[in-house]
Amino acid sequence: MSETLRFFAAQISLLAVVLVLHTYIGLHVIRRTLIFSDLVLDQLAAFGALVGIGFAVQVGTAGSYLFSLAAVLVGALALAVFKPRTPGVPREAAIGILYAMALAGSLLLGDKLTGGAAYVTKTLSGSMLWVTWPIVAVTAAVYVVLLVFHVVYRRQFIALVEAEGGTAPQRRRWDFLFFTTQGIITVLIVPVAGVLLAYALLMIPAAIAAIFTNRWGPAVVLGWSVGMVACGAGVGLSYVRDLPYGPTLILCLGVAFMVAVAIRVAVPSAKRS
Amino acid sequence: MAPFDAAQMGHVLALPFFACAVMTGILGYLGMHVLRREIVFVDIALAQIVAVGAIAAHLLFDAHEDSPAAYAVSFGLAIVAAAFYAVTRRRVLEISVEAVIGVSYAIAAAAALFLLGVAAEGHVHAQHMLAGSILWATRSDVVICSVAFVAVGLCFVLLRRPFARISDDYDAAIHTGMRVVWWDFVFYTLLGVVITFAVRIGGVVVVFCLLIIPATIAVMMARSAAIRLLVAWAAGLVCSVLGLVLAHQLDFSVGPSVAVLLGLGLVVTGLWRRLNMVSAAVGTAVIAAAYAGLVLAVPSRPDLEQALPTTAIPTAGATASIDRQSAVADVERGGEPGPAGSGAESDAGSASSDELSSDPQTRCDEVLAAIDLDRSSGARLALEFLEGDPPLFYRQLVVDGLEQAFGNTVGFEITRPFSDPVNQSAADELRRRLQAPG
Amino acid sequence: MNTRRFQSRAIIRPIVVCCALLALTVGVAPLGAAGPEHPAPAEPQHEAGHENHGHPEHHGGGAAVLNVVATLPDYASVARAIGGDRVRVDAIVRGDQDAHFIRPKPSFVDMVNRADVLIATGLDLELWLPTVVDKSGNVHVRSGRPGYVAAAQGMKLLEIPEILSRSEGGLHIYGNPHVTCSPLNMKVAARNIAIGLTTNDPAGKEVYEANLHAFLDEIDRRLFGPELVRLLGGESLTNMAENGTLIPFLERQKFQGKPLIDSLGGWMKVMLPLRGMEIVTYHKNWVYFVTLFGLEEVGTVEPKPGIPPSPRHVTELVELMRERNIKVILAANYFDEQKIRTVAARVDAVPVIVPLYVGGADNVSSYFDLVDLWTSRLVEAAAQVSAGSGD
Repeated sequence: MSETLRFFAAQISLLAVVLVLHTYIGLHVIRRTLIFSDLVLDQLAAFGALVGIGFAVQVGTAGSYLFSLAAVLVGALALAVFKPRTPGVPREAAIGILYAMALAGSLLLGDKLTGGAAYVTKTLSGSMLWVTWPIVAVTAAVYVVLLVFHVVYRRQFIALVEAEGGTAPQRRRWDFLFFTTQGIITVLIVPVAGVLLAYALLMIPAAIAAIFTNRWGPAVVLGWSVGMVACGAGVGLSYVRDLPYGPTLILCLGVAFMVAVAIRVAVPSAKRS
Repeated sequence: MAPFDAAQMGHVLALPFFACAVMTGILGYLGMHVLRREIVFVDIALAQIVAVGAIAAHLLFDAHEDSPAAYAVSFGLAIVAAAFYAVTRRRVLEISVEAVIGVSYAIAAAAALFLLGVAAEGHVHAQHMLAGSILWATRSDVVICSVAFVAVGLCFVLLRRPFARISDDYDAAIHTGMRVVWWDFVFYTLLGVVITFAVRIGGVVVVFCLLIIPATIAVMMARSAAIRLLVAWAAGLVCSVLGLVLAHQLDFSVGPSVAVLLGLGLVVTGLWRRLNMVSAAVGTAVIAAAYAGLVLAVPSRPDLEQALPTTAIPTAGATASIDRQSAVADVERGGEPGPAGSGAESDAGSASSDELSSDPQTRCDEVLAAIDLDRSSGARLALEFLEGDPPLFYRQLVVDGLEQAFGNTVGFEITRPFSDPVNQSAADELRRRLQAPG
Repeated sequence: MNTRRFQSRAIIRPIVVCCALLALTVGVAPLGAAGPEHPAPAEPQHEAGHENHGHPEHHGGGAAVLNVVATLPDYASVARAIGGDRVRVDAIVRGDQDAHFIRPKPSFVDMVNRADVLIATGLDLELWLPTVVDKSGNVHVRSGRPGYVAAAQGMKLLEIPEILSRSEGGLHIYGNPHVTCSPLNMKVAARNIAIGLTTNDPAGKEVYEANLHAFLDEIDRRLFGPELVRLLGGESLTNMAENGTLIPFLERQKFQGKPLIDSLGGWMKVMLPLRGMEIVTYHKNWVYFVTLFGLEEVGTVEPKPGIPPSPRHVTELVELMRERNIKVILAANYFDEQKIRTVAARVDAVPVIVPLYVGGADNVSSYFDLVDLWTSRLVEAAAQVSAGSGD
């Protein structure tokens, strides 16, 4: 029994910590309609770790995190800099292509590395089961630091969303810092949760919140609560019915999202009716 | 690995090239629409949904990958998704349609992994889903895809005006009273058909890249729609060829290789757009040289022959008889595993006599039992057995048996072979005793 | 006006560049094919078309050489031992790769295309093989043809599912296909391979038979010890080992006053103290090994290849290991080391991570080295465990 309890405790506490920052950053992402930028960073983190394996650096070691971080920083730079100047090429195209390249690169590396192919699959499904208390502690610490940073400078970050103005170098700087934040949390969470779950944890609670409210504070609270309920259900369901862990969590979040959409379609907001 | 062998490559890569070519044809065109509507990621979401459909059909209904059932389920799911996107595009929700698409992508991928995790044999599909299996495209694959794509292309030609109007300006189209939701649905349906067939061969990554990148290159390079289309097709074809060659020479999967080459193509285009001629030319030359270097200077696969030293085996001293047991032995279950190479059960002239099996343990037991039953015939069998120089332990047992039956020592020296004079004389002695009456 | 010209120039140049690249690639092909600059191994000249199969090709000094391709390095190693100089062997799967998960690559097609003999397990392990064979266009090595050797033909298989249901391991319907981990199975494989070589190169029959016999003999001696082989002969030892009756038999019987068990040598002797030890394996690769040496496989970490285990499975396994005090986890080295060590750490067990195939680690260049490594590592782990528990 203790093993089970231990399992639940570790998982729930990690999710609780993670969801706060994720919901907030996710709201930024959604409101700036940079949906797939996170997917790019997630995949780049995985790609970086794969490169690390190529240099005989084991996954989960400090060296591996450094490789992931390097790849993610390059991605953050690319995202901030590559704004297509040609009209007719939307920014999403640039992001989408970056994602495809990261994924293709990962697959090609997986072709060549011993054990690389298994790692590619692992980066998709994640390994949340294997999370230990030290990881929870480190993650919590870093997340708190980032949260404080974002609370202090929230006006500058929110300005990126609300107004497209401001001087270009300034915007680029805050853009870069924003993507760097995203990158850091990506580097921490992808080796644990996998690309898809990391992405879902970022997007779905925030999306659900954004469907219902425009304001930042209540959105974070709403997103976090719904996210915890969905994840809790996912953890329990996966355990009781012996289902694959990461995918079950994502599907539970997905169901929550569908329910939210249904509610919104059925009960239109005041503005609309 | 062979040096650059154009003939071999041509043989292996011919069908894959045609697969890429037909995909380029339809996806290059569709990509223009996708870019104009700014719904870049809809196809990766749709591609993933289609992949889930195929997996679900295979695992839940036992449908083979190519069967109509698999296509139907994939397509059905794609339609449902299409309807969903068309509805949500109307800004029913506060969030953009891209967010919805993003979320649905994650859910679809999770559903795929979920199904693969629950069913017993799904692991083969996980890699296929992403990297595709272009290298293994068969003629029927290419034909089926061509037919489907031509049909869709015709639909687009027929319906080009309504589509163009919505692509160019969504809101204006609403104002003119078009039933945009319906047209959007039709558009997504056609896109869904294309993706259903394309993902089956190409996998999610290369289908997405062929959709977006040639169109992007085209938009960056030309103004008029016709030239753009030509540029998109040219870019797609060239990068496909280069990607195929790279995959063959460096032993990569074809899908991701073509994807990376498309990315390189985009980089080259970007160079020519942003930089002056000289820099761009230099950049292109560098890339080209790197590519040529990779493709031509292929490191050979470490030959197993060189890697393993000769297994040190003592040369055959031929002390014991060669084991003649037939390899096409006992267990033949209903579904027999691949039949043995040669049907030749040639020299399985296994045991000398048919009644006795060749296993010394069994034969020894039989001999001892025979001696118990009737010592003279048992003794004869014993002599036959000993003639074959069986292992020491069994020799001892049989000799003990003979001694028990015939009392006192029989005179065999078991540590010497049967041909040794001591044993020969003991055997003769025994035969004489057998013939003597009483 | 200016923009138009720029645009048209912008189109043309990149296209010109691309065409130039293409021309470069295609044009250099003949050069590449003829050029000896890169260190390609000496290939027998292969003419277009596939008529040349089934008969050893002649090159160099006129000695015929059979092109043998094996899926697993273990079969390649055996083929090399049996074929000697008459064969040129290559293996598709590397020693540290998972045979389930091989993503078929273009080079496989080339290899199979040139093969005179193709050796595969013949069960449903190498599911990717038929596609590769099809694509290569080499008819001679298709399943059922003379060029194809099913190494597992005639082997006694374990874990044959009674119900072919999808939920319950519908994965391997003939039985557990990981046959290479028992030396006894490799004897059967060796015989099949020898037949295959002989069929395709009848002139070498005597050489193959002699080498086969030497190989089988060597396995017997390394497995049972030379003394016991002398006493009982390889055949009965093999049969008894397969039936599981060997050790009881040896314990009961005596030869000239000395209990047979004292004459036991080789791997069986090394593993004798470990008989009955309960272990957990990472995946069901080891059934034949465990059965042969009398270990007890109590659970597996990852029952379905490539799919991570579910939370309940892992927690149940950990609890089981704690309950039964299982301290050894045996895993092939192509699995995720992090998971293995995490589970081991949770129950204070010793992870034994070894290559599953020949060539999967340094210094493992023959099948004998491989089994040596397995047995020594397990014995080491057992010693560690009993030292740890202060026995």
